[in-house]
Amino acid sequence: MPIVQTAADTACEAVRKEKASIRTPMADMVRKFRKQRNSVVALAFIIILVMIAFFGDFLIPYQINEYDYSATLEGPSGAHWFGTDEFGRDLFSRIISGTKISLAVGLSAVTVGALCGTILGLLGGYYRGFIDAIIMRVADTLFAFPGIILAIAIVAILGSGLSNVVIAVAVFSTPTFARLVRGKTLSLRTSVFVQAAKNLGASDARIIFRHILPGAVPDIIVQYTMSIGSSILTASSLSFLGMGAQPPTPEWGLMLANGRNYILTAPHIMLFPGLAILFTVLSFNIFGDGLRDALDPKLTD
Amino acid sequence: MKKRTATITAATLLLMLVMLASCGKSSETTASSPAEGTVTANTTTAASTATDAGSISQQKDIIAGITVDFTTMDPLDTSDTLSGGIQRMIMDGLFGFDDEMNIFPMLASGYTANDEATEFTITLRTGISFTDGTPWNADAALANVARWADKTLGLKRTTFLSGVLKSWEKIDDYTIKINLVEPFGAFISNLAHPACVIMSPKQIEAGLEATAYAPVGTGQYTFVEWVQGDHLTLKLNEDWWGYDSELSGGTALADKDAGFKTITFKPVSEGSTRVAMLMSGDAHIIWPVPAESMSVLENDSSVTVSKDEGIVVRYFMMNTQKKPFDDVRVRQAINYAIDKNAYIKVVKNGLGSIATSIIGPAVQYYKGNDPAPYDPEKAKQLLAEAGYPNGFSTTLIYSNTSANQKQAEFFKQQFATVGIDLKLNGMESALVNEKVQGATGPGSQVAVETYLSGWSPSTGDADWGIRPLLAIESEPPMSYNISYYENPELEGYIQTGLKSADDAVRRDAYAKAQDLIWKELPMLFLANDFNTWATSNKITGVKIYPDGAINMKNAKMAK
Repeated sequence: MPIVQTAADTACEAVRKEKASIRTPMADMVRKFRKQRNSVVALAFIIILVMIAFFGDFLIPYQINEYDYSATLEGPSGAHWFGTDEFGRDLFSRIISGTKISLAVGLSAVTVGALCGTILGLLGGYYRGFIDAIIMRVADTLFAFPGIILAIAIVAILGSGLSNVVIAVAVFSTPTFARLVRGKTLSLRTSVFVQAAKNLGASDARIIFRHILPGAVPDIIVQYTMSIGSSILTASSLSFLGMGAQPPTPEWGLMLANGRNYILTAPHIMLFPGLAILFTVLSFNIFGDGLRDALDPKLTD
Repeated sequence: MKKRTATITAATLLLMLVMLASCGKSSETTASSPAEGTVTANTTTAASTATDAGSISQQKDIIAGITVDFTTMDPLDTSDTLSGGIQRMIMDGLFGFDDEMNIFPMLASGYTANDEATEFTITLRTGISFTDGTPWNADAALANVARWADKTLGLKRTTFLSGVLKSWEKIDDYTIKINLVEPFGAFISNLAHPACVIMSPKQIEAGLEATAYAPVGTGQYTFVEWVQGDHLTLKLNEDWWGYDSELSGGTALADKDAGFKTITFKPVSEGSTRVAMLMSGDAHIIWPVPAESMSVLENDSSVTVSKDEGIVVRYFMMNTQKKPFDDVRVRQAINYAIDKNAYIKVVKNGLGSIATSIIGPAVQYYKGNDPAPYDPEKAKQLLAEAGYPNGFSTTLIYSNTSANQKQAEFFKQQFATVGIDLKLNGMESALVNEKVQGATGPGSQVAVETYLSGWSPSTGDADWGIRPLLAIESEPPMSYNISYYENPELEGYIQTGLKSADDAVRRDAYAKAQDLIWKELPMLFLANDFNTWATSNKITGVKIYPDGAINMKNAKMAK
């Protein structure tokens, strides 16, 4: 009896312990993510960036196009924290104001790319055959170009401007998502639960979106986060080359291009937009890294 | 290790944070008062250190950094100053310009004209031969004249003289006579234009390929090779007649020890790279100096930086056949709305002077007027009088070089202060050429409303500074009257000046023309550009002609 008693006690104990720390996938992810100190800092920075994007215009000390010809090319000072540009415009205000442009371009381009890529990947991976062949060969073709070259080609066709940059970046991030989701779909479509759903008479749409897609979501999220950084970089590069935002838009890449003329005499004009791009892209990449590690089931602690 | 990188990331991001966090809302607005933009011409900074040069200079190989590659070596097919400038080193003209843009006879020794300016008799300098051995005489001269008149060539400058040349004859071995279709008072000035430098008759016979890629003249340098996109090399012609004071008619054109063994021109489009080349010794001469880098080079003791007022005038053109620019009050209003001191300070980085006429002070028959002061209140008042109390909206077309971009943004800012919304439409230069210079149809129908432009009359004569820009015959696609300005009174002055060879008559006509233009403002006159150049401090004597072409006649290197 006492032995049985002990066994029951241990079982109860175990259940109680289990209840205290229920390991849902979400909680598991959060726990793993919080271990990545770099990524937490990066996430904090991204949250600040998003807040700046929304509220930046209320914070800036000067209007972005407010010129002051008596204070051109001035270095950082109390009045102008990041100094002024060749028209005497306040660089700090312009960089703050440029945050929402860069984030909006990066996010919208990747969102469009992720949506298109996911749908194409699901279709190709699920139906196989002709559709799959076409989608994947087109994706291969797009992969053959380095991203920025493809984006330049697209902008050259569509004409310069921020909206066309969004399209260009969306197009070049689509095949990555398509290939990723297709791979996941290929492995999931033969899994038992999908077969079961099929046998129960579920429609293709239901199987694709209710059973397969959720399995691909972690991969999509990681890829999504990682792509934002490179999208912002590409968008800035296009503006730097004069194919994206047009002056006097306070776009970082454009400001960087402008500052290039003054690199010897007033390096701050180039430095601050460059730093803004650096930190933004860096934080998205670090955040993406952390997210990947947190979502990877193969990685255990 | 991981922890450490985390700390570093945290620290850097925190840095950004701190910068962001403490940003209060300062409502302090700074008035846009421009600093005084007084600039002095003809200043050469950094003392030249060349002492006793000696003909050692002629043993030196020199590298010059230029902005873009040359377009052609055929003077009659050249419309850019850069190529024209190099051609002037290889080939001499019948007439040429001295450093101050005064005309003097080069391969000609003198001329006479009839009163109507229709017959010109030109005597030629003797004892000169081309670098291919062909002697310089009346036959060689007439071969060139015939080429200028040959409409079948279809070169960029074919229309320059082909319309006025009627007939030409050889009087004797060293005298020619040229008859013109109609009176043309600026004929001799046009002969001094770089398009009219003299080429060896052998090359002319050899055809367009030879003239474009293997120029032969009588000049100080001979052409060696041109690898397009990479470099162009010239070699010194030690037997150049300009070194010989007897041949040159008293005073030699250049010191005996001036010149370099070879000069290699390398196109380097990135301004800061050119500057770096000069500072590191990879180049000995660069021009122009990017305005942003002037102060850097001025502080470098191994470099001599120079600037000089040129004859390029910067304009803001308005289509006077379109509303609202058909009203002179609107054009005056805009003239008051532009702060020209700020223009020079901000756009030109101080490298310019406020324009005082449609042509620069160094151009013959220049007459200056007082620039309008900066007065936005008066501008608003004039706009109200003209029926635009709330301003209006208009579009600026320009080719999107970085210099133009800066100008365009400046105008947008200035226009906004008087309520005018200037929309910027920067385009590729080829597209601009098609839309603006290539436009057909009357001014009221074409796309251009406002336009940015600059002009330097390379003949050094008022005619070429006014007629191509404002005569009715010059409306696109013929020439550059992009203001589509039509004024019979001005037309009269232009014709008077054109049809006379009498100095006083021409001076009077062009003075009246300039006063009229200044009142009527078919375009805004902004600034006279400064030419800038920089050399290694061992080199002396490099100059830039007022039209922007390089002048190395007396250049030499010490040590």
